[in-house]
Amino acid sequence: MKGKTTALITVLTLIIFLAVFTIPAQTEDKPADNMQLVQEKIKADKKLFVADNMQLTEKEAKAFWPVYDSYQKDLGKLNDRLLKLIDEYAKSYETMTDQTAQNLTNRYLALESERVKILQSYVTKVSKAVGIKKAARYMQLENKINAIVRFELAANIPLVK
Amino acid sequence: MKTCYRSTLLIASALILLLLAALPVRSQEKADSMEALRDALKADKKAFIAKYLQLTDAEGKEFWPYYNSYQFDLQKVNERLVKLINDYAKTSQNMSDQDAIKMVDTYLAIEQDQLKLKELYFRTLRKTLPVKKVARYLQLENKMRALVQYQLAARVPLIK
Repeated sequence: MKGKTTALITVLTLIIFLAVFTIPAQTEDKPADNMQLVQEKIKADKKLFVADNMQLTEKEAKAFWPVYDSYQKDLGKLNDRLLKLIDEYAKSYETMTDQTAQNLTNRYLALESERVKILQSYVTKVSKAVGIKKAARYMQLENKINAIVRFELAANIPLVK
Repeated sequence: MKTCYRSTLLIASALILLLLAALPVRSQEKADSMEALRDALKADKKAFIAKYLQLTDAEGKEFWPYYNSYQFDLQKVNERLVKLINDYAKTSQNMSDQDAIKMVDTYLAIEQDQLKLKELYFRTLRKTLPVKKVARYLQLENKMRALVQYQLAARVPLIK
């Protein structure tokens, strides 16, 4: 029973790391272990993927990457909260109380709506930096990555009992 | 020509994906094979939800009217998404800034409306059904939406 839950948490954590690519700013409360190296690698990979597909001029790049980094930081905070939510869910889904279910559902819906709001504010910022067409393409890239995460999470998270 | 063919293919596959997930049928539509397909898919989704929710008779009486109403509202949002993809497929090869602004704004508005709808229905459902069943229903809808988003992300090409 405990083994199953631990395995579930590990799988879900890996999915989020692999697909969401974020690094929390506060490293002091996390030991510098392999997981941090994995995160660093994934963060770099995402940047490469975005760079490949954005095809920015030098001038555009100068304007784009600071906005990108800032967005990743905000997205990182959001994904940390999602990770915590999934962690709590994995520990409780087999013996869930109504109260926990209500709490987790509320937090999930709040996270989703914040995600759209953050995306919206950054599309405006990216558009100011590199024009609307490149901003639209960047939104598509983030959406593709998000769709993969959602798909993997949907496939791996068991239904509440 | 090649572009036209690609656009048609894109529209066709996007439409099918959305139908697979959106499902409800409007009564004023013509009785063609597309409608029959939608009817079948609508019934399949209902059966899928019924199987995994395991409602008691009393719960079912409360749940299904909300479900039907939610599917109806969801379909309206999904129709806007179909139209967006349709417009995008026509313009993605030579998009103007104006087209891009419209596309981004419409997409974000659809996402927001979809979430608002979800929140509204789930908050209402919680008043009449056990919260754990409502949570499970949310999971089922999320699974289906994740599948559609994944398929769309794989098929919709990047803006040029």
